[in-house]
Amino acid sequence: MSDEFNCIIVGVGGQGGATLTNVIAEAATRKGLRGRMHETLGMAQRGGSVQVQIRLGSQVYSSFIPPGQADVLIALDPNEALRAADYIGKKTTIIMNTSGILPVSVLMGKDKYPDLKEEIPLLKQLGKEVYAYDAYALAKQAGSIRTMSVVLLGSLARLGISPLTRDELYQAMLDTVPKKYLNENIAAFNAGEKEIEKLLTK
Amino acid sequence: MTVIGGEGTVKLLLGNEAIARGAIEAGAHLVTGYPGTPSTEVIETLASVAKEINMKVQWAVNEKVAFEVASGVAWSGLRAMATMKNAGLNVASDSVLSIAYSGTEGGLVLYVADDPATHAGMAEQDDRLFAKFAALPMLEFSDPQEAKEMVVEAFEISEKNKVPVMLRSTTNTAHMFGNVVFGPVKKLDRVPDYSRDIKRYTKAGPAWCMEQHATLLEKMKKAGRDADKFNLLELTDSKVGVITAGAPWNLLKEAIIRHNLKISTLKVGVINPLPDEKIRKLLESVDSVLILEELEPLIEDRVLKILGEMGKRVKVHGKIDGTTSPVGEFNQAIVESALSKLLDKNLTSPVDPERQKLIEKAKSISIRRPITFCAGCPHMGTYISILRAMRKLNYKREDVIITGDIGCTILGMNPPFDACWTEVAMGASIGLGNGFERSGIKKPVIAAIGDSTFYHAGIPALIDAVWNQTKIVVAIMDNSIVAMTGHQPTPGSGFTATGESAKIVKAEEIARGCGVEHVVVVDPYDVEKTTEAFVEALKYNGPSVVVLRRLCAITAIRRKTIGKPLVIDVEKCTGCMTCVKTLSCSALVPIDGKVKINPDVCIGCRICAAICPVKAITEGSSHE
Repeated sequence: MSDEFNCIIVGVGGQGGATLTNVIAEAATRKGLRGRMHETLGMAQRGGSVQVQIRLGSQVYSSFIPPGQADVLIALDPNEALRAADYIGKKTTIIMNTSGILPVSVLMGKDKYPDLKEEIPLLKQLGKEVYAYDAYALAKQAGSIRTMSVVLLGSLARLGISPLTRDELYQAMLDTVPKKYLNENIAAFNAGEKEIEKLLTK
Repeated sequence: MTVIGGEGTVKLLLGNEAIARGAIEAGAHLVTGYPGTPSTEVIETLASVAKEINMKVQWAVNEKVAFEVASGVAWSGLRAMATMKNAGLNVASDSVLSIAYSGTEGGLVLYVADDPATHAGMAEQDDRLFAKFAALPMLEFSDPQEAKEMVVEAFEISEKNKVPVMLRSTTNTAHMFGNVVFGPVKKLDRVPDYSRDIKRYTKAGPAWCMEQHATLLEKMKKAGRDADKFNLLELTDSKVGVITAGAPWNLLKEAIIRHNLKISTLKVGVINPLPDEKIRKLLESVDSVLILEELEPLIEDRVLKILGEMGKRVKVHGKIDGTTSPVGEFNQAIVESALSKLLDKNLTSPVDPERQKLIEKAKSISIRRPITFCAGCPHMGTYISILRAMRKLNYKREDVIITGDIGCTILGMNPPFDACWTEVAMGASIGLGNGFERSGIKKPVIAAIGDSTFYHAGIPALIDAVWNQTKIVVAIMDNSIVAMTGHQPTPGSGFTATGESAKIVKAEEIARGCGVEHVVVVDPYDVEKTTEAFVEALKYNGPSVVVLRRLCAITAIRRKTIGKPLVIDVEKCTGCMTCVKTLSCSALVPIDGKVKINPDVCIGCRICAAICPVKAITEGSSHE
């Protein structure tokens, strides 16, 4: 299944995973790509884990990505990236926001939030490449924390690792996000692109 | 707007959106249902375009009412559909079984979404068995395109055979996105009409009932033959075969491509009645067969029966020999392992023990994310006040039974509240509570129920409490929205599914109308008054109702009716962590031994301000 592309998006409810999904799906549909996709929303509107699996390809039928077969993992939250470890394989590029949402158990001092110093090397061993940065801060700078997922989208576009070009993703973003928040989203997309350039030159 | 477009339009649709499109193409006059994951999006999608397409799209107070309303429309000769989740079908069941006997005039479709692996809670019930039990034809799709085609066809078959047709999905197919090609929209300009025919529409005598039953069985068989095009038989010269349906069909197709397998397959699209002839044809050509079906061995049982009739020995792999489990949903690994058994060769991916160790390590340092109340959720105020009232009356936690119910209110079972003891079914908190009281247990009982859940199935149990003189406190947590399923309006919201204003049905008026004499309405953001209300209710000798009225926090954010974020005075904050430990609100962030409020998350509900022992939490404006 040579043209198969598997993308998994993980995060916490309310982080903008849906926007990210809509943009990628819209870009794929416009390009006439065949695909399957599903979302696992958990029980709560907010605060629960959210996972979306997007699959593109002429011979894709199930919406489930087989274990180890993700081409891209976009993690809106570092803890959720770890929970998706089954899908990470030698071909997986990981784009991750490092500013996590602390669950109740951590706020109450009962659990310890994963340490990035331990997590990132582990993800590097499991996957192909890891691009991790504080997308929350970049979204804030772009004008709204609600654009965090679009920052990560900018990074995906800049890396050129999906069947969708930078311009196809950019245009789909422009047409998908609410018109009122267009400027913030453009700034967020650009910030995500720039961040990748910085990381690549390091 | 995703479901609007001319013939030939291609769009990426969710399974449920494809069903909505199917209802439009079939010219349905009305679609109604009750929100329930994973079925909700059908009505949400249609509600957003209802005016444009001139369709009546409504939320019903419960699934039974939904199916009755749809049936009334269909008995008047127009087309109608009812949608519900698996547990909802249990509620509708009484009317479904009876209406099946009478049949229909206009096309009548009942869409039920099952949930193997219980992504949304409740039992893993297999409603394919319900179709058999109710003697109703049932179709099951594997992808969004097929979903749309089946809805259109279900209306045709229903109308032709004068029988309601069931359509089934599972979470995977209901929530799967795929490309859908739009077909033409049927224009039906029908005048509604209904003629009295008590032999058909009543159950007045055994002779009539049995005749209706016999007619139903005939109609069901004919409908099955009419839908046979959805049963796809592909015979090869191989001696092995697979029979499957629904979501596992996709996994099978991928496995066939990935491993270049040559096997005969039958994809069953008509679940009831099963396509005996095609099953027989496949069995004639094979020595061993694998039945790939989630949950119950429905197809497998039929295969064994047909093999018995044929007198042929075929090795059958499925639930009975333990090849697959009746629990949970399938994935690639399960299907590949089942195929390995069928073909007697290993198709499963080799496990690299080093990688496996890394994956285990990743999982071990990750933490679970228990679902909690949103920042500013009024239910936090309710549960805190219940726990405070208990302390005021010198009750320990184990001294008061708090029965929980379906919806966001049940999150009170989780830390730090640890309040609810039970979760059974819509409205069951009150009925169960009545039972605990009548058992003679010397513990007060509080039933915690949401507004929509109360309207749905809580009212009869409240009448039972009054009638049988039960000392129970019923906390109706009225956030004026069905929050858990994605914020659909309730009868108490003042809105309909399509956004028109409606009369507000008030929970307190219902309670008084049921005969409850102690009824109070409080704002759960006011912890002091709410605590007092529960103290009084717990002391009251008889059924009492406390209505906790405050709009859902998420809805309030959307309607821009929230307050300013609060701030914590660092001078005053002693770092006692009482606020964090009592509420675990996501707006409260412990930093350097003290607590800060995240202004991006806080909506100024003031519940934490009421709890802070040193009154360090105040309105933002004076400190900014």
